[in-house]
Amino acid sequence: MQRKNHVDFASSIIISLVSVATIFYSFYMYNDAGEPLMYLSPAFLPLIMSCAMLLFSMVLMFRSLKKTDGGGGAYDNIAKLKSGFSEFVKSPTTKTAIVGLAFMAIYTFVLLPVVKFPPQIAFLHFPVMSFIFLIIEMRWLKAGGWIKICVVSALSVTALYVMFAVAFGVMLP
Amino acid sequence: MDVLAMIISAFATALNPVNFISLFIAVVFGIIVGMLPGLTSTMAVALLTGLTFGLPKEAAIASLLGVYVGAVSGGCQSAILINIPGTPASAATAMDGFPLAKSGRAGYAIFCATLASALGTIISVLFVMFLTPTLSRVGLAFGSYEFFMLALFGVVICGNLASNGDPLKGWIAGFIGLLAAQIGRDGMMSYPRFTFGSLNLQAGLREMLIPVMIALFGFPELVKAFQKSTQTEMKNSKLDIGDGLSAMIKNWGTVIRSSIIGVFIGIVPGVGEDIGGWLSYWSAKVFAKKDAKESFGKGNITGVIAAETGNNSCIGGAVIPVLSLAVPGSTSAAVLLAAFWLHGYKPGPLLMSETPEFLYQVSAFLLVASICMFFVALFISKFTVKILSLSKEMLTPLIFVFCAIGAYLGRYNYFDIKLVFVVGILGFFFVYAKFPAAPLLLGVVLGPMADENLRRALRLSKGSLEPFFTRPISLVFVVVVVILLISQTPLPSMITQALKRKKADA
Repeated sequence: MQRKNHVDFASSIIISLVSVATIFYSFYMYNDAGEPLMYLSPAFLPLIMSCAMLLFSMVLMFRSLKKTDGGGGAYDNIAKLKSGFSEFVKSPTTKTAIVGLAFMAIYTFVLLPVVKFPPQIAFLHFPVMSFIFLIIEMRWLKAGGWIKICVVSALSVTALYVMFAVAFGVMLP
Repeated sequence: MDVLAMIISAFATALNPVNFISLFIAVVFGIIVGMLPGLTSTMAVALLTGLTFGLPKEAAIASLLGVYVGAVSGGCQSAILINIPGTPASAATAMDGFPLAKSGRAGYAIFCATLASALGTIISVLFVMFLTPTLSRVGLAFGSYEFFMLALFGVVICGNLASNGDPLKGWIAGFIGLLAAQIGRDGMMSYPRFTFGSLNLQAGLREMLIPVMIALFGFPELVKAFQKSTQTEMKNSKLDIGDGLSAMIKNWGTVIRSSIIGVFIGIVPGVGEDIGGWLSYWSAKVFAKKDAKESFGKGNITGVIAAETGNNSCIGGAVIPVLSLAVPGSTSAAVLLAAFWLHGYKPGPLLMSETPEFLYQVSAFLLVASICMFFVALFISKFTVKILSLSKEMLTPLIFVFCAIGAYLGRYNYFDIKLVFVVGILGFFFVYAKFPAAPLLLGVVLGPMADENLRRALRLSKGSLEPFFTRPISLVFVVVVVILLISQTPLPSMITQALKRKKADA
C-alpha cells in the first residue's frame, strides 16, 4: 500500500492534539466525579485510551517524518500539504462536492428540523422537503433534464411515503 | 423444549407469511445494494435497521439477516461484469470472474458464484447451530477480567486485519472508537462524560449506533460519488447451468475448505467478509495443481467459487460471537448486534439458558435467506446490466434521503440525522487518510463493555492487575494482544537476525 506521508503527518498532529485535550479533560472528570480511587473513576478508561492514542499518533508522526527516496522530514511534509491543499481547492470535484454537501446540510439542519408546516398538512412536511432536496441535488449533479429529475423525485418520495408512513405506519422525519 | 422442536418452530417462524415476505424483500434489496459499487453490506444492514422499526420483531430480524445475506452475495455480479466489486467482500471474485466475463462466460461465472455463495452461507449455518452453544458455555466462564481483555483483543485484532497492511492506523482507529464510546453517562456512576452539557449526547454513542454506522460506512461513499462517473462497458451472457453444476461438483473440496476458512475468519472480531474471500481464494490457489495455478487471475472458475464461498460463510461465522459473546465478528455483524438489542433480544453467554430458541430462529432465517438469495440473484442477473447502469448522480441524493430516514427512525430524533452529517464528514476525512472504519465501529460497540468490566475487575482486585495474568483465559488474551502489538515493531526481525547470526557463527 502506498503511504501518503504528508497526510499521515497531518493526521498524527490532529490526533495528538485531540489526545492531549482528552487527557486534560479526563483529569478534570476525575476531580469532578468525586471518586478518590482513579481506577474506579469514570475518567479511568478515557485516560488510558487517550494516552494510547497519543502514543500511537506519535509513532505515526515519527514514521511520517522518516526520510525516504520520495522526500521526507517536516518541511517536505508541510510543502506537500500546501501543494495538495491548493490542488484540492482548485479541483472541479471539490466544488461539486462542497455545493452538494451544502445542499445536504440545508436539508439536514434546516428543511427537516426547522421548517414547520401547519398541523392540518403536517404529513406533507417530509415528502415536500425531500422532493425539494432531491430536485436541487440531482440538478446540481447533472443527473438529467428537469422533467426526468422531477418525475424521479416525485416517484421516489411517493414510494418512500407509501412504504414507511402508510405500510409500516412509522413516523417520518 | 428440545432442540428438534425448537428447530421446527424456528422454520415455522421463518416461513410465516409476514416474516417470509419481509425476508424476501430484504434479500432483493440486499442483492441490489450489494451489486451497486460503493454501497456495502454494512450500510445496507444499518439502513434497514432503522427502517424496520415498524415491523414485528421476528420480521425485523428476518429482514436484517436477509439483507445481510443478499448484500454480501450481490457484490459478485458487478465484480464479474465490470471488474468493480459491489462490496469489498467480492474483491477476490473479480480476480477470475472478470476475465471469465471478458471471454464471454459471464453467465457461467455468475451461476457458479451465486451457488457458491448460497452453499457457503448454508454450511456456515451448520456451524452457527453447533458452535454457538459451545462458545456460549466458554463465555459463561468469562468474568470482568476476560470481558475487558476480549474487548481489547477484538479492537487490536480488527485493527491488525482490517487496516490494509497498516495496523498502526487500525489500532488508532480502534482506540478512537473506544474513546468515542465513553461519550455519555457512564454505566457505574452515571457521570456524564464528554457531553458538554448536551442532553442528546448523554444517552451515549451506543444508543446512537445506527446514525454512527450510517455516517461511517454510508456517508464517505456518498461524498466519493461526487466525482464524475465513468461508464464501463458491460456484457452479460446466458446462465450456463449445466457447466456451472459440473464445475461446482468438481470443486466440492474447495467449497468445504473455503466454508471452514470463512466461518473461522468470520468468528474473529471485526474482521469482515473481504478477508474471508481473499484467504479462501489464496488457499484455492495454494491447493491447486501445478498447471492450474497459472490460470488463477486469468479466468479460473475455482477462484470465483473459493472467493464467493469464503466471503458468504463469514456471515455465519460473524453471527456466532454475536450470539454467544455479544461481540461482533464483522462490521455488518456489529450492526446486527445493535439491531438485536434494539429489538429487545439479549445475545451473550446467557443466550442458551434464557432464549435458546433465538439461536435456531437466526439459523432458520439465514438458511431461508440463502435459498431465496440463490433464486433471486439468478433472476436478477438478467437485469444486472440495467441496474448497474443507473447513474450515481441520480442515486446519491436518494441514498442520502434513505440515510436520513434510517437515522431518524431509531429514536425519532432529529439530532440523529444531524449526527449522520457531522460524523459522516469526519468519517470521510478518516477514510481519506486511510484509517479503517471497522476498528472504530468495533471500538464504539465494545467501549461500554470494556469500561464497565475494567473498573469492575479492578474493584474486585482492589486495583491489582495480578488476576489478568493469573486467570487462564485472561492470560491467553493478554499474550495474544502483546504478540499482536509486538509483531508490528522491529523487535521480531531483530530477534530473527540475531538468531541467524548466531547460527552462522556456530
